[in-house]
Amino acid sequence: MDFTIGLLSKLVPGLAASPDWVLTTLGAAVPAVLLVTFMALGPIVYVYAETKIAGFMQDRIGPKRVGPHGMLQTVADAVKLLFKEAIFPAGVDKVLFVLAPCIVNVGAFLPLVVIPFGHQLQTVDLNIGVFYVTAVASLSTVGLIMAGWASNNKYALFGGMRSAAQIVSYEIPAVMILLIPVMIVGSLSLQDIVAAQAGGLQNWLLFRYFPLMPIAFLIFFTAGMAECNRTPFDIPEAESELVAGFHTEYSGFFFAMFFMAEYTEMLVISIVSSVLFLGGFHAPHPAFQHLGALGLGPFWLIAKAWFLMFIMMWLRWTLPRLRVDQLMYVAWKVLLPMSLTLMVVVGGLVMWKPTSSGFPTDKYVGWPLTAAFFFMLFMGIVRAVQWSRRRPQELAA
Amino acid sequence: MKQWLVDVWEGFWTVLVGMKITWRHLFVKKATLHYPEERWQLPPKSRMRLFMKYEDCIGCGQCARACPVQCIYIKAEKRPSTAQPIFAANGQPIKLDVSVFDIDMSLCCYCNLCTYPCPTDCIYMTPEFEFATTDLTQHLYHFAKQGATFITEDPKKKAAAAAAPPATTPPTTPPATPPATPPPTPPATPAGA
Repeated sequence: MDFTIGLLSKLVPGLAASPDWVLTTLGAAVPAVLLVTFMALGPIVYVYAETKIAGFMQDRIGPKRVGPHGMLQTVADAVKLLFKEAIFPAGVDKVLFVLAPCIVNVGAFLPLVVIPFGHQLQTVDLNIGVFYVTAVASLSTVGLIMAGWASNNKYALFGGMRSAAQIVSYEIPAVMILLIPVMIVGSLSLQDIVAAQAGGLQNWLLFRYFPLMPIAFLIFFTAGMAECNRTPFDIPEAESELVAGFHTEYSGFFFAMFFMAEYTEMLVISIVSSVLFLGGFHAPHPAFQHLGALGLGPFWLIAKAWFLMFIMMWLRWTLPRLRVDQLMYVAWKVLLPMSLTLMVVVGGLVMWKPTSSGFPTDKYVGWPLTAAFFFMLFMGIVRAVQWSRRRPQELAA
Repeated sequence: MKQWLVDVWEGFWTVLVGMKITWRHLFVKKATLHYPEERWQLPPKSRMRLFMKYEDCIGCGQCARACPVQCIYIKAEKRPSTAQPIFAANGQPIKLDVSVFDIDMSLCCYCNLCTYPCPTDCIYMTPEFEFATTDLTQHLYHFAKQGATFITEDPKKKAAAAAAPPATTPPTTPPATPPATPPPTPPATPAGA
């Protein structure tokens, strides 16, 4: 914000003389408008990418007619949705019905306030950044329940309740994993967490305690995917059971808002995962951080986030939808114990002086521990692969 | 505990296996046929739009009788005996003037039964299938032509005449395909010459 004010005063001579409230308003409004525009236009790209990837994975070619390679297909879809009539079915609670997509969008967009796109490219550097992200991201649950309740439709209500149950259960492992980077870095500020990962690939939190942090990352990514209702976990809008879940009754612009919220949430989850584990705006090697005088920080962050989004889409077109009980099994019996264990173990390793800054840094404890872990992991993987090779024959026999 | 580990590993591993499969399919040649630009080669006996070659029709009406849905309408009257004799391509004399030969393709059930009884093989199915129209009445095809040119010479006699003189000369080609169609295209001669 101060950075924006400084930049604006430099760009517009005489602005520095204006009163404080003008500066504050401008400093808040300019980044907000930029960020919201960028993020709100994003889903057009993501939906196009999703349809294309879906097509390719099913040996089809996806949209093709509208524009070159069908690139304007989503633009056309968005325009169509914007101009369609918003239907209010009989018996809906109109206030909640309109409010619900807005709240979902608020929950999807607000975490972007604290995302660091660069050393100074951050709207606000809250000292409780991670906490803020989790707190604000769960706002969308309220919106989903609201949508389900206001629709006056049993399928919508089912969808809303399911999404509440799902998001609440998956937030627990996600938050526990969130604590691990916080414990390692010792700060809740996202800027600090990114700063702790400066200096290339080996400093990323993903590789800090080698076999432990990748598992933590996987758990966080899975839980995040469940939180934004993506396909292996999309029981709130399971179209084969509940017509379209919580947005059954929505049409036109409000439906488009739900869509936008879903894709923005995907992006937010990807960005947060890459900030926490993949080094944020730092390049894999410091040499790639700048292109001449041009800093590539935002580019790296967006690239990592888009890579994670691609993995989300990949998973979506790979996996079938989970049943409700399987979903709860994954959350409470798999992810939660694992994240709890990881939290305790990594917390202990952080507290223990020889391993406090990651395994490979300490000569006497770190390397041997890493070697032992590697060996165990290697043996485990070998045995597991052997077992999974044998397993189909066992099952067949 | 062991079963739990086994379950977790199986879940993780099967996800990886599935991802490998979808990744491979990302680069597989796509199965989509870009329809208006690319077309599928239709099988040789495909039954699509009916066509009737008016110059060969003798007006016998067997196709109309064979049609199970009565979608062929024929009106024919006797040719005056003083008129010039005309023939179908296979030598059948045409003794009736076919004034109306309509096929309603919106009724047609594509059974192909009308083509078998035709003595001159003048009605047949074409591989043409894109004849959607905005109006159903446009599916009524009129095949009777006003100024059609018929063969006025008996093709059998002509073939015999063509076969007889070359019998003396060695380089003869059996007239497997007699002049089936009347030569209405003068530009064909310079192409042959």
